[in-house]
Amino acid sequence: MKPLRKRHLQVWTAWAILLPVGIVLGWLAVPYQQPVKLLQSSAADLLPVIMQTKEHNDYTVSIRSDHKHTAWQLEWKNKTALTYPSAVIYKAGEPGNDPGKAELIGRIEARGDYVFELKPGLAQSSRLKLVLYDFIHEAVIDTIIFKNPFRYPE
Amino acid sequence: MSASYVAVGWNRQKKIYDWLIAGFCFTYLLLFISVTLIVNEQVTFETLLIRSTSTLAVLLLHVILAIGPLCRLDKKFLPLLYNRRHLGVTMFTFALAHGGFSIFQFHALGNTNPFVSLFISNTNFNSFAAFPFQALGFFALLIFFLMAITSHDFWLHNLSPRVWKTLHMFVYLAYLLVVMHVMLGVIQYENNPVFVIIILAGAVTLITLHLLAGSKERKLDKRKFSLEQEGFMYVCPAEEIEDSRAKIFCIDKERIAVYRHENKLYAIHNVCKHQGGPLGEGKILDGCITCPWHGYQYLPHNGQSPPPFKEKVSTYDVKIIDGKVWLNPVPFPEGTERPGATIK
Repeated sequence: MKPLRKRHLQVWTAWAILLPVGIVLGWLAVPYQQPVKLLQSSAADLLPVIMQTKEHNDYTVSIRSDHKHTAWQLEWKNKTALTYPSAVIYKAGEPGNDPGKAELIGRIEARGDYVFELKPGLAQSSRLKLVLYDFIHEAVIDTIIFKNPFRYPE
Repeated sequence: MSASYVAVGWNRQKKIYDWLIAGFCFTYLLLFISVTLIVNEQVTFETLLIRSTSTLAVLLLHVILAIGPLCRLDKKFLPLLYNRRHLGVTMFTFALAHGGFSIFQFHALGNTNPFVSLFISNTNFNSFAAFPFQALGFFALLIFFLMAITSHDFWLHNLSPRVWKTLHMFVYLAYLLVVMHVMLGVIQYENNPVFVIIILAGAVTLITLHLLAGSKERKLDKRKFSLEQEGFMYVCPAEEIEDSRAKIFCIDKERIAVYRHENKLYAIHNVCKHQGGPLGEGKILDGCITCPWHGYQYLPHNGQSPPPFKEKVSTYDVKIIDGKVWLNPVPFPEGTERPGATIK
């Protein structure tokens, strides 16, 4: 048993160097800004006007605005528990659904309602193409297209 | 103490120990879930399960790894050691729950086999921040699994204490994997330094305890015995050894326990046949040297376990001249009867 007792000391002497180094390096590697921001926008209050709504079996997605059409929101309401634990919503670039070229709007989880602020500049767009992307399995779950979402219905 | 399978014998101490473990785990989970729900109302049930079981498993792992050195530094902690394996199996159960929920939530809902998905969904091996940390957790869980299934004495006897102990020393590798699993996993999504500080404090505490305990034993092993007489080494004055207790001496790289019992001194090999416990740190109960770890017993005069048990340790010759204890470090075959030395 003597070599085993010696090995305890040897292992912990090695760990005395490796563990703090690993912890500090792990800490230093934490990105200053998280690659994907969690959950809801801080502007949790819903804007009063619903511009357009898209229904899906599992969720409802709406574009909301204030009365003066100066601020915009994307409202995401999960109707059922989704089968993917976490997904991100991108505003797709025009060429396609490549998330690498898209703009991140927010992240949703399997349950809950979410509100994300939309940039005012989007109001110039005649089309808003949203991509729901499963970043764990690296797969597009759904594509939602709003036509003229920022124009108030006649 | 036989090699055939015998179910765990539940004595009063084991029951109290296990009820305390269960009470602690229940209280921890309740507190964790309550505080999380207060701080973050949007948290999902799945996330709560994954985080509460993982933090509890990490906490238990720190306690388990601290018990060994604490016992070597202070005998007061020995009751914690007695059923450390129960604590280990409990820790594995919560780690398994964490791993199971995580695999289900993050890998079981696609078209790929969840275990395949675990290894192919992230292959950023050349990136520190995006390293596939889940694989680290998986390998740690695998080690805990092997330890849990071999935790019964049946495996200890079949594998031999040496192999069993070596296998169970892989817990240190598992600990390293767990720390890096946390640091490269959840910590990468947290900007609050408190979590890093907690992990660092845990690691520093364990490192300090193990190094202190190791250096204490090293001092004991480094003591030189220069006075030699016909193969006997002078070790200490006879009155230094308390009744029913022992002193340990390391001569020629072997530790020998010299026990005082009914005004006589007896010397036996210090290593218990069960799990390598330090016999010299135990005491004499009912006329038997009793290992402080799990209560295995040996008769002082021949190093044999009392019938029906069959464990045996080596014995040594000891003599007293002018109140001084002289020890012959040449071992007799295990179980050899020796007369001991009478204290006048």
